[in-house]
Amino acid sequence: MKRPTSKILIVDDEPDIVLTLATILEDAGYAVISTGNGERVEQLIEAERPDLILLDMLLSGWDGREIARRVKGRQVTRHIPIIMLSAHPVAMQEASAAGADDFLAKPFELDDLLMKVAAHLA
Amino acid sequence: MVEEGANQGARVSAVRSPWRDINTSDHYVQFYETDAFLLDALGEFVSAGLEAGDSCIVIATEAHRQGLNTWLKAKRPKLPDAQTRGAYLWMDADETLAKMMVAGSPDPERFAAVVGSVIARAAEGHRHVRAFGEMVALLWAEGNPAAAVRLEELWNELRDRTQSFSLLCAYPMHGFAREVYGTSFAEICERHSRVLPDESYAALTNEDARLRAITLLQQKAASLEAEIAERRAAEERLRISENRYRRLFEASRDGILIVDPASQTIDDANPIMAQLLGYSHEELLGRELWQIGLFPDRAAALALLRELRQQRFARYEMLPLQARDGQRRYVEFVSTRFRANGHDIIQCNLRDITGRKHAEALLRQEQERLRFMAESMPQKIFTAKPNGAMDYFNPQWMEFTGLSFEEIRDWGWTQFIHPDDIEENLSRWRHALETGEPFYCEHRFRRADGAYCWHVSRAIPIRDTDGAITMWIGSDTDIDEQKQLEERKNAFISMASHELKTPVTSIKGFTQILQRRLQRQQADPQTLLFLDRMDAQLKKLTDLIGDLLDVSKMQSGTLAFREADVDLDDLVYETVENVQAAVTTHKLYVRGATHALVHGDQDRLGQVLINLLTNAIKYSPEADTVLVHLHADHERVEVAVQDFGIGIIEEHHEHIFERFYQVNDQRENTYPGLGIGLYIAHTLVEQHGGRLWLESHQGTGSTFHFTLPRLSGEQDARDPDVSPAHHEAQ
Repeated sequence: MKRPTSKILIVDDEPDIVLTLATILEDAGYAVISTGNGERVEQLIEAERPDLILLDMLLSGWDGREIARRVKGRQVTRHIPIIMLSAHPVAMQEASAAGADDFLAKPFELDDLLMKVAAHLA
Repeated sequence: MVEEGANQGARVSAVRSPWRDINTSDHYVQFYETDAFLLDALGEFVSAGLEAGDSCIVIATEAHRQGLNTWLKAKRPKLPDAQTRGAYLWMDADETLAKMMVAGSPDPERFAAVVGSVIARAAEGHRHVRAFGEMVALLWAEGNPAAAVRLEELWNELRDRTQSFSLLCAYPMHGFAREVYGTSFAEICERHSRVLPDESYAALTNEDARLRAITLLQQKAASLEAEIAERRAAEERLRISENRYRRLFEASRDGILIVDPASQTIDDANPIMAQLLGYSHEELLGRELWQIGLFPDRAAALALLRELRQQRFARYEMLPLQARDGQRRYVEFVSTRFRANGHDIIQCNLRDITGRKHAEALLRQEQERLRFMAESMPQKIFTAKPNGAMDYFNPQWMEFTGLSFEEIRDWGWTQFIHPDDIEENLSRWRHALETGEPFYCEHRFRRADGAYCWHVSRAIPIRDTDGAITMWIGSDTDIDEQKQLEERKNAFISMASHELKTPVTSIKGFTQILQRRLQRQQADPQTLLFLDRMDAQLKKLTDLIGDLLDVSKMQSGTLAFREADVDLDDLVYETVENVQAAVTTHKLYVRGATHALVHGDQDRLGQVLINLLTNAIKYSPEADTVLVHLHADHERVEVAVQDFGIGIIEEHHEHIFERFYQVNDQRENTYPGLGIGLYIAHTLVEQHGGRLWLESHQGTGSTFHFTLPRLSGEQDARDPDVSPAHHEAQ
């Protein structure tokens, strides 16, 4: 609500999770784009220039950590905050190692999600 | 002769009697070595008597009578025929003696009748009588010295009682050639008034020669006496020695046989030998070895004797023998052939080893059985010396590793341990060897095909009666399949809980969206309550999934900790507050403080407390209070969570921390749950170096205590004014 113009990219291969995340964020006033296809992520980032990325760690066929590394490895996308999501609690360290800015364990509390997103867009 | 000796003073007497001059009643005894000397003396005695007109009575053997006749004819051809004048009378010594002997002794009456009467007749007309007798010599030669002495006495009594007559007795000197005859010889001499030595002295013609002879005799006597004493001492020593060896022989616990090699028969056997074979001592004597059950047949016994003849020694480690009662016994047999006193002797020593052999057989049987077991079981078995070097591997090892025993013995086995495991393995093995504690290790062994398989190894020390370790015995079980199953199970749980989380995440997300939207739309309170409950249940579900995941990680050893120094009091208060926020049925109170830091994972330590609090609330539905006690000493902190519920009966206490253990009480309620909360708490506390235990009595509630090592000296620095004594907090 503070920054209604902020655009958030959701990368998750589970449509229902994408739907909940998108709904929560849209209800909170963010613009949301999403994909479940790891191949398309970089293309989408290039095209849409999101302000923040919610990235699932384990995509089918893709490794979220690899995507994070690439985003953080490119000069033009390095500044985009990445919040890594995983059902694995220990994934937090790995997320950090891959360059993610934050970590949110699944299942998450709605308030936690909004808090973390707001924090990184502030 | 007495007169002559007295006249001559110190001169040594000549011993040839002046047979011509005797008128006295002397009782002569003449000793002789040869008949020729005797006949000389006898001839002189008789011829002198006849020439002097005496009566002569000769009681002699037939041989001596003939000898005397021959002598008289040769030496005294002019002597008138005395026999025809009745002055010379001959009696056969043997016959005369036979007439007077009663029960081995000369009878005085018969002597008087047979001899006395003859002498009385001869003395008629007051003629002097000369008598020669050698019956005493016959008695002596027969080995009846007492009778001889007695007969001499009878002669003396006769001479004293009746008319005086001269008597000449004669004894061959060789009849006295024994030291033991000394006393009897002296007695016989005593019975005579005149003693005449034998010719070795008597034949000497001059004084000087006689002196020399006496000197020589003295020397001979002295040396003989010394020799006799020496021989006696030797005999005594021999007797003592003989006794000693006899006692050894009799008392020996080994059977001993003495065998004569010539006759091949048994000369002697000791009591043990007789006992061993079941024959009496007498029965053994004179038997051959094969006849007493020692050898199966004569040929075998002869083989031994042949061996003894050639080697002088034979030894059989184990010889079966058949005792008389048919019992089979086993002996260790040692035999030697040696020379003793100019004879060959065979000595056989037999030691009964039947008991030992049976024990050995049993031991061998036992070893066989153990070996069979070791070689037929699927487990790998080894033994090691006290220094840790392996000295036995059952064949399963060689089969598994594809290596030979020689390659893996001693410390060669280290080559098939996984390089990542060898350090741990050796450190544990050395620790076990040093302390004598049982060895335990899980590690990977390289199979013949190069693949590594998980094994669990155990070894225990075997000690002797003094407690010293004599060996180690160990077994190794292939747990690769279990390990893989376990890994798969853990991977499955991990995957399953992850998979479970995805739908839970969606449901939770939608639930919270609905809550938000309906709150904004001011929906009816019941709908909102339902959504609230849904969210709460989803939280429980999430926690359960989290617990499952933790358990699988604990099992696989992949549970990670984020370690830091943790203020325990802060952690406890914060956790209690959070739990209290979600609980309305119970009031949670914290009592005391630790003022201590501990080292560990804050979230995991919080999880321990949450689990204990959740547990306390869950199992005390009828109570409304849960107490948390904090306490610390110099080394550790203690947290106790006390509830006032139904309590837990003793039999559950040691199992309650086991994974998936459920307290099922038939009388009381059975509380649902996965039974993993306490397991997780217990494991986490242990992994933090602490201890978790339970105090509980049915009906009064339960108290779960856990301790953690404290970081030293922190409480004073942080809050020096507050003592660690209890203060109440709510």
